[in-house]
Amino acid sequence: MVKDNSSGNVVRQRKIILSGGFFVVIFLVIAWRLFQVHIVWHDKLLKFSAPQYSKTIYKRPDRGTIFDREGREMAVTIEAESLFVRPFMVENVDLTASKLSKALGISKEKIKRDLSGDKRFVWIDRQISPEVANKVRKLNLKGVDFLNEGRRYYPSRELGARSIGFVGIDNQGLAGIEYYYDSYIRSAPKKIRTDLDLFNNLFEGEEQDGGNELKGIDLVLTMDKVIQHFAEHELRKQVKATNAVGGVVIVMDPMTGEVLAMADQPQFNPNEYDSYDKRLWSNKAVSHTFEPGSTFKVLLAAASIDSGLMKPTDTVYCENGEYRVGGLNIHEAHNKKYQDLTIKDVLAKSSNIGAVKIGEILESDQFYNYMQRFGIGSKTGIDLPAESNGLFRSIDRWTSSSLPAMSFGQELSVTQMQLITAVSAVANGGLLLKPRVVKGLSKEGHMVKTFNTEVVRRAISQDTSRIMTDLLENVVREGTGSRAAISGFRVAGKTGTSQKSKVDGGGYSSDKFIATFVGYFPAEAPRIAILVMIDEPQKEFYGGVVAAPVFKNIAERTAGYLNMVPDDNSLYYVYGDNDKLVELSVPPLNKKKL
Amino acid sequence: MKKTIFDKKFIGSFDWVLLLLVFAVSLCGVIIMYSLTGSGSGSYLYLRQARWLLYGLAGMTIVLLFDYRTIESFAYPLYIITIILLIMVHIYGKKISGARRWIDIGIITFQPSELAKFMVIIVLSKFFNSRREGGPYPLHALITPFIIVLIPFLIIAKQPDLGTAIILMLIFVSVCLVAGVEPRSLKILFVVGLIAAPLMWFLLKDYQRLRILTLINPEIDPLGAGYHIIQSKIAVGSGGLFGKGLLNGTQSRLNFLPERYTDFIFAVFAEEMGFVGIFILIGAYLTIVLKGVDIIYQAKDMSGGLMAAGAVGLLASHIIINIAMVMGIFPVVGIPLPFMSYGGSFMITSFLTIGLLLNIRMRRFDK
Repeated sequence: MVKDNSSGNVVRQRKIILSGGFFVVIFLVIAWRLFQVHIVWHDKLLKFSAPQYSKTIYKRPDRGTIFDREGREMAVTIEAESLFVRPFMVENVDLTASKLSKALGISKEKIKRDLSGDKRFVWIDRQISPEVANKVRKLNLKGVDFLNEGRRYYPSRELGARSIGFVGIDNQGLAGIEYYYDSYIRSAPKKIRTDLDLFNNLFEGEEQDGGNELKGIDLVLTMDKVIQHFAEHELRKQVKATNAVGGVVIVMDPMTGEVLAMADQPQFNPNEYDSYDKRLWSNKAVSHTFEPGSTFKVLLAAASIDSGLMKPTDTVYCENGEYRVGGLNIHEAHNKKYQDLTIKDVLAKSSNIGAVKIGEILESDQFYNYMQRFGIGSKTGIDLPAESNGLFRSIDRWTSSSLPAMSFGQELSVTQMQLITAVSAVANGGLLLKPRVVKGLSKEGHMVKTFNTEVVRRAISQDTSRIMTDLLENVVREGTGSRAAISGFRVAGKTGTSQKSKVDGGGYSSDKFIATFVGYFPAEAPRIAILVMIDEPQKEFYGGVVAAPVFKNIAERTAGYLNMVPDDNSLYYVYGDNDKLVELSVPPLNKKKL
Repeated sequence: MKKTIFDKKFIGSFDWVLLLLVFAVSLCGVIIMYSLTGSGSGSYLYLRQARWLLYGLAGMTIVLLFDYRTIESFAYPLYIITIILLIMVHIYGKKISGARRWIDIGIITFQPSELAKFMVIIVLSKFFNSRREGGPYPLHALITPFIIVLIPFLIIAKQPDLGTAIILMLIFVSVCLVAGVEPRSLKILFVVGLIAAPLMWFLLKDYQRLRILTLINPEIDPLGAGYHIIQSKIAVGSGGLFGKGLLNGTQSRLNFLPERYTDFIFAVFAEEMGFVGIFILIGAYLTIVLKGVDIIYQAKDMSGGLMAAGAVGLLASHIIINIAMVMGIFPVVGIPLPFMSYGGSFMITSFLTIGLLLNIRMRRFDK
C-alpha cells in the first residue's frame, strides 16, 4: 500500500489515525467499564461474593475417647469415609446405580431413587470400610464422592457395651454413657467459617479444622476392663450352664460407689447395634426392676438392729413352717420347719417366717423409714440414662399384707443397682453412696475433672454395719451362701430366690425364678461388692446354688487381679459414724475355718 | 531473488516488540492457568497450555519462513480443504457440550472452524488482490467476496458456533474497509444494518435472545443466562486495585466462575491481579492491535495490507468482544481471548495470525 508520493502519505496517516483511533476509543470504553466494575463497585461486589463462598458450617468435633479406669480404650473414634452423590452430576443413573449397588450391597432400586431426586446432595452409605471405599473410588463414577467422618468404634466389642452404650450415625450418643455424657464427649459444635465451592466441596484442603483442639473431652470410667471381663465371662458361663434367659452382674467398690463392672446377658455388639433386638440395648441393672426376695432380708435385719428394737441375739418364733398373716400363707423354702431363730439364723437359713416376724417388730413406720434411708423406691442417681425408681409404695397405700410381704422381699421391686448400693452401705460403715460409672474427665491424657464420692445419707450406724457384716459372713460360712466362700478371704453376703410375677399380673409363677447373690469382701474391710442375678435358670434355681458360685469365681479372679493378699491383717478403713474414714484393725481370719 | 528468513534485512525490520508482547501475554495465560489449577486435579492443564504455546511459536515460525505472497497463492486450495473439513465435522465431528466443533485426525483433535478464520484472511486478500480495478468498490463488487465468507459462516453457525461465525464476518468487514468501499455504499450498508439488526432478533434462538436480555438486566435469570455475567462481574469487581494475588482468586477458583479456563480467563486475571494488572494487560493488547494497524499501512503491497487487515480484524474482534463480554457489556458468546484462553486450536490460529503480521512487516522493504 506504500505509495511514493506525499499526498499518499497524508492519506495513509489519516487512515492510520482513523482506524487506530477506532480501536483506542473501544479500549477506552472497556477501560472505563473496567474502572467502574473494579473500583467503584468493588465494595458492593465483594460483599456479594463473600456469602457465596464463605459458609459457616457446624462441624462436630470427634467424640472424646472413653477409657476404663486404667486408661484402656473402650470407645474410640476412627476415620471413616462416607459416600455421597450429587445427583445432578450423575451422567448415567442406571449404570451408576447398578455399579454402586454391586460394590455396596445396597439394593439398586434404592440407589436409583436417591439418584433421581432433585437434591444437590444425598448420602448413599455412611462410614464404610476403606476397602469398600477404594472399590467405589476405582469405579470412577461421576457425581460420586466421599467425605471423612469420624466413626465410633468399640474395640472391646460386647465388653461393657450395656453401660457404655453406642452412638447414632451422626455420632450422637444414643444409649448408656455415650448418651448420658454426650454433652461432654461430643463437645459443643464449633462454628467454622469455611470456603465452600459451588458444589459444597470444602475448598481444596483449606478445611479450617483446629485439629485436636476440637476433639471432645475424654471420659475415664470407673469400670475396670479386666474386672468387666471377669464379670461377663463368669456370667455368660453360668447363664449358659443353667439355660437361663439372662443375668446381671454388678461389681462395685462399696467405699466409693464406683462401679467396677456391670455385665448383662445376653450381650450385644455396639459396633453393629442395629442388628440386635432393641430390648438388648437397655441396661437391665439400672432400668429393670425385680422383686428382691430374700436378699432384701439384709436391709430388714439391718433396720431391726439399727433401730434398737432387736439385738442380734434376740429370737423370733417361726411358727413351725407355716404362718398366716394379712391374708398370706407363708412357708419356708424347701418346706423347712423352724421354731425359735436368732436374727443370725433367720439370715443364715433365709427364713421367710422369721423375716415376717422381724418386720412385725419393726412395724410399718420404722420399716418404711429404713427402706427409704437405704434408697429403696428412689433413683440411686447413677450417671446412666433410664434409671428406674423401682416400686415402693408410700405407706398410706399399704394393705394388711404389705408389711409381711415386703419383709421377705415381695410386693416391692428394686433395680439391681439399688440393691447393691444399699448393701454397700451395710458394708462400708453405714453410708449410702451415689453409685457412678465415670471417674472423671480428661483431656490429652490429663484429668481435668474428677468426680468425688457423693454421700447420699447415712443409712445405719457404723456399729450396725459391723454387726451386719458378722451376720452376713455367717451366711456364707454356715448358711445358704456357702458356695460364695473364697479361700483366704472373709466373705459376707446373702442369697435370694424369688418367683417371677406372672406376665398377666395374677400372682407368682411357679417355674420362673430369679436367683440372686449379693455380697462383699473382705468382710470386715470391704473393697469389692458383687451382685449376681441369674434370670430364669432351669432345674436348679436357688440363689445359693446358681448365683453364689458366680460371685465366688468373680471375687477370686478379681482378688488375684488386684493383688489382694489373703489373710491380710493390715489396717483397713471403713466409714465411721462421723462419715469420715476410720481405721479398722482387722482381726485374724476366723480360725473356725471357712 | 529469494531471500531466506535469516537475511540481515529481515532481521532488521522484524518487530521484536510485538513478538515479545505476545509471548509475555501468553506466558501470563499459562501462569493464570497454573493459579487456577495449582496442585489440584486439573494441574496438567497449565502444562498443556504451555505445550500449545510452543506449538503456536512453531506454527508462527513456519509462517515466517515463506513470503506471504507464497502463502496467498495457496488460497483457493486452502479454501476448499477447509470447507471439506468443516463439512466433515458435521458428519464425523466430536460433540462436546452440545456443539460439534472438533475433528479427530488421528494425531490431534482440532477445530476446523479455527482454520477457517485464518483461511478467510488469505482468500479475501487473494480475491481483492486479483481484481483488475482497485478500490473503492461499489456495493455489487462486494457480493462475490461476501458469498466466499458466507459459505463457511453458515456451516460454522450450524455447528452451532455463532461466535466464530461472527468473527468471520468481522474479518470480512475489516478487509473490505482496507480494500476500500465507496462512501455511498458504506452509507447504504449502514442503513441496511440498522434496519436488519431488529429483524435479526427473530432469527436468534431463545437462549441467544435471553443472553442479550440478561446483558441489560442480568437479574432476570441470575442462575441461568445471567449467571455468567453476574459471576464474572463479581470476580472482576472483587479484585480491587491490586487483586487478590495469584492462587487466591476465590470466585474463580471455587468453581463459581464458569468457563474460567477458556472464555472467562480474563475475569480470573482481573480478580487475581486487580485493576493495576488488568490495566497493564489491556495496554498490552491495545499495543498489539495498534501495531497491527501500523503494519496494515506499512505493508509494501496490496496483499500485505489486506492480509494485515484481516489479521487485525481477527485479533481485535476476539480481544474486544471477549473482554467486553467478561465485563458484561457484550452478550455471552463463545469467543476466547487470544494468547490467554485455554485451548490448542485457537492458540495456534492466534500465533499463525501474528506470524502473518510479522511476516508482512518483516518484508515491507523487500522487493
